[in-house]
Amino acid sequence: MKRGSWQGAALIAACWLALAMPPVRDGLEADMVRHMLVQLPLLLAVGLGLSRVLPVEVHGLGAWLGPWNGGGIPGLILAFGVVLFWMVPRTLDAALDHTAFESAKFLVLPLAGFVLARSWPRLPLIGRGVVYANLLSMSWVLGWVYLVAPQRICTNYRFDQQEQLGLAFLGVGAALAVYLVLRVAVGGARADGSGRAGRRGQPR
Amino acid sequence: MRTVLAAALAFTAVIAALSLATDGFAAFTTESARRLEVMRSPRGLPDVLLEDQTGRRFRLSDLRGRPVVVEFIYTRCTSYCVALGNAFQQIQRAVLKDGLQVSLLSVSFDPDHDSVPRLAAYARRYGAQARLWRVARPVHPAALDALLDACGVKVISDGLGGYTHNAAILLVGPRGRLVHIYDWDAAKAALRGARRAALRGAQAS
Repeated sequence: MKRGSWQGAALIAACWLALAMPPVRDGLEADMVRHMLVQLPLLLAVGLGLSRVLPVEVHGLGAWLGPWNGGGIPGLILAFGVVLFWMVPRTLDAALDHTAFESAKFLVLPLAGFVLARSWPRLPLIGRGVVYANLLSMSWVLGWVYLVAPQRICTNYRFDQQEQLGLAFLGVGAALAVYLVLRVAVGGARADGSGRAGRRGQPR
Repeated sequence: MRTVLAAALAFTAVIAALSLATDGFAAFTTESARRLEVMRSPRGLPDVLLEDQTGRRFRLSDLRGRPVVVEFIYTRCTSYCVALGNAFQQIQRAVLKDGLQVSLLSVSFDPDHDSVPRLAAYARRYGAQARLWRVARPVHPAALDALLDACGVKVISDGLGGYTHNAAILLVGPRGRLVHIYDWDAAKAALRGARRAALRGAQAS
């Protein structure tokens, strides 16, 4: 198990490196939608994945930090803040114009993903609800902002890409809404927050 | 307790990082950052060699002594540059009418295509008077990059063979420093700024 975990970590590190390679990086960054809604989430996913596969001794750090992350709330604030930071149009531009910002993006987002993965399971159900509600409203508000903005928001992207991003954000919000409705309908969201429906064969 | 402390720390770190990256929540886009930076601290520009619609070569520093209203364009442009051209036409008219000590300068960022005859055609289209309004291109490509960089002008492909750029009206003071950036459609505000700069320049000399 231990070895397998290290292999998993190596695989994820390879994915991270692949994302940083010029052809992949340029391909994802050439388009505003791909940059914000594919590359940034993938970098976050690198951290999420690492948190899953890294052996327990590395998690010792997590155990030590645990008391500081009660209910996962400090970790969630940090992770949410990092994502918010990289969604500011100016930092998105800066990542393209300055190597220092680009490097920071590739380091900090996986870290945020790791922290998110360590914090999410600790978060009480109501906390998750707050996060979902925030994501949902943020997606739709951002989508609307990008659609109606009279001027270009990023100097590195065209106006039509900005409109596409607006539509994409509306789509993300819609997908999230459908997911949440389905979860409630299928009975996934139980009051004790113990996760997926029917795992313990509990009658609904 | 530790959790509350950690949450406060995380929150402070996020706010601090956002504040640093947005000039204290004043500029969330690269464009507003450029304008704010220029207003707070006017910057010097590289003394590039240019060539205007009559084929005359001159340096940017030759224009010192009076404020210069500057735009960056490419002559094939059918969107922002047209609006900018109209704004410049309006400014030239006011400069002529009131006898203002103000020059106008259009710089092409597509010097390979924008030859002297094409610059002249652009000048004719907007009625640019060569002694007042120079329509020019940088002679050396490296000089173009340095000038665009100093002015914070970002040119990208529009995907249709043309360009997309952060069009604006730039005001360069009598001492050759970039002092203000106006919206591409803010001819009146730019003119007011140029008028003030010309008055100050006259008092100083």
